[in-house]
Amino acid sequence: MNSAQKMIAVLIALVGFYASPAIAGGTLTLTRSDGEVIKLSMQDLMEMPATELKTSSQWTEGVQNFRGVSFDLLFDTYSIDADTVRISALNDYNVMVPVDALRNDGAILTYHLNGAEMSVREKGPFWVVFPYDSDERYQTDTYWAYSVWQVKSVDEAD
Amino acid sequence: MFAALVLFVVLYGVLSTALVRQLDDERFIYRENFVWAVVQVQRQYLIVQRDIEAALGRVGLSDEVVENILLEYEIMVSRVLLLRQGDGFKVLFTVPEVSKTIEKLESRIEQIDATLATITQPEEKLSELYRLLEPLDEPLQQAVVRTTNFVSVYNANNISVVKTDIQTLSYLFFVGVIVMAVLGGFMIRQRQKIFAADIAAQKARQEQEVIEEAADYAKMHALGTLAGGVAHEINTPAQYIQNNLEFLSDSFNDLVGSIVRSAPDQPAYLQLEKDKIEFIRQEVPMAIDESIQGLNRIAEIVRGIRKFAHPATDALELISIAEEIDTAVTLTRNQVKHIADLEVTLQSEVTEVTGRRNHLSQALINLIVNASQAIMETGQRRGKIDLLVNDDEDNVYIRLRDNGAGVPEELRGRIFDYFFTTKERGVGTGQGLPICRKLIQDDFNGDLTLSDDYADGAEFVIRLPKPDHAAISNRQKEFSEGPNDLNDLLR
Repeated sequence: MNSAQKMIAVLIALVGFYASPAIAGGTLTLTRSDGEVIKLSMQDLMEMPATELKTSSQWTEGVQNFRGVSFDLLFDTYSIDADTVRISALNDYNVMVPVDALRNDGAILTYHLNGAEMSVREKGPFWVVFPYDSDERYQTDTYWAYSVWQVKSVDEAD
Repeated sequence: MFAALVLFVVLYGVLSTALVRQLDDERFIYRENFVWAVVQVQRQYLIVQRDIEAALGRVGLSDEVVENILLEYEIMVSRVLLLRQGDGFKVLFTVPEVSKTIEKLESRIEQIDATLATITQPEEKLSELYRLLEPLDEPLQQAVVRTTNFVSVYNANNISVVKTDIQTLSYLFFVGVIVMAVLGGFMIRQRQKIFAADIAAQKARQEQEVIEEAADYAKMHALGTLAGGVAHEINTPAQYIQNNLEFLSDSFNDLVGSIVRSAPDQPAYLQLEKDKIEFIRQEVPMAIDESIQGLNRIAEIVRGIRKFAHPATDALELISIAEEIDTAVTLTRNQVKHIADLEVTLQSEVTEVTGRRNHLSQALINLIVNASQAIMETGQRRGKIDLLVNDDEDNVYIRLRDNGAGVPEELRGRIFDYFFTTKERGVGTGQGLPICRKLIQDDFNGDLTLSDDYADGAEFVIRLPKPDHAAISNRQKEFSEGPNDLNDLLR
């Protein structure tokens, strides 16, 4: 590799760094009520069967393609059987969400928006998304409050 | 009234719908989230500052600490971007301090991103981040304060608008309640009126039935009262008919006994004195004529009774005034003849009126009997009753005048009241005059009145409207307009 190529590589690296600022929160923490903590990386989640939702939302323009793991599968896989979970965001904002709502209403823990990972600035790394367009019930304050973005952890509440 | 109610309902519906829509409107969402969003930016800003200060104050700087600080910075940036990109926050940018602060933040973020991209040394990176962020401390605080003020005023204004609308709705509701109460009262009153009308109609029907029964009773009462006189009227001719028949029988026996026949084959002859023969020749035809007259008289009286006693029909028909008067005079003759002279004078060309049979004669009988009783009470030797029939353009008048004592002034207003009578118990029922008046009013559309200005006794006037000849002829025309061949047959 010549110096010119090195310069280009450095430039690409610099531009890349500038274009996608640090993503330090690419880990999801699951805490069960017995105190067991499970840490899932982006890779772990991406290896699970994925679910895609094509829907609009009040935070995005037009229909978007959300890809992630359905909470049904996530909870089954990691034996989350509480009635309610606390979903927390990177800024420590948290919401108590009924597990039934997440399971039965088809919510997913999104990790890709339109095929790309989401930066913190884009509400990543993880975002709770419901199929808003499929039912007016999901277009209410309650479901918007459940739709936590910049998710860092999901904990059993009892 | 109904239109007012409909108008109220429509107005209420439109206003309440408008209010609900207004509440759904984006502008009317309670804007506490504005404060939350701006405070979140300030919070993240302070966290970044605090963490940098802590990191730089420590000896040694791990990658994890730097990464965490940069993550906090990213979170702060995401909060700024959320404010800038969220449609719901557009209103917030009408507040100058907020707008300027966000613009400063954005430009400063661009500057920080560009600067950090060129720095590899962690400590320097954090120092630069701290330095570049520091001037934003005061503007962010101002933005939070101004946002809080703005949200407070914004919500207060919205609440005021909604409050005014709710007040309007309240007033409208009360107006509606009043309108409905008035309408309800009106409907109840209408129902009461209908109910009262039903009751009145029922009462009128019952009254009519009572009057009809009373009229029948009065008729029978009159017949009973007249029965003695009528019997006498019949008895008188019957008496002389009997005498005449006895005379004729005797004469016949005399004639048969005077027949003489010398031999069976010889002609027979009368062996009677000449005076006797002359007497029979003159008296027998007279007796026969007198008897026939007597029988005619009886037949006339019986016919009168039969007519009078005949049940009245509901049908209105043309009634002969003269026949009704005849019936009345015939049936009251014995009642009157010893008290007064009854003179009937017909001065009207109209001979018929429309009404119900017998009811006119019933009224006349009542008036004639009253007149004779009035005359009798005066004790005069011979009274006078005039029955005069005349007319004007519209009506026929039957005036019955007597030269009795007349009706005292104080009783004039009461003689047509039911159950009012001046007669002794058992003589009068107090229903005669009122029933007569009712019959004349109902059945003839006329009236029975007592003349105010008749001085020689009393004058009762029966007014009977002349029959509408035009209407009758029209009815007859309609009746005759049947099939042509039938008309031909009738011609």
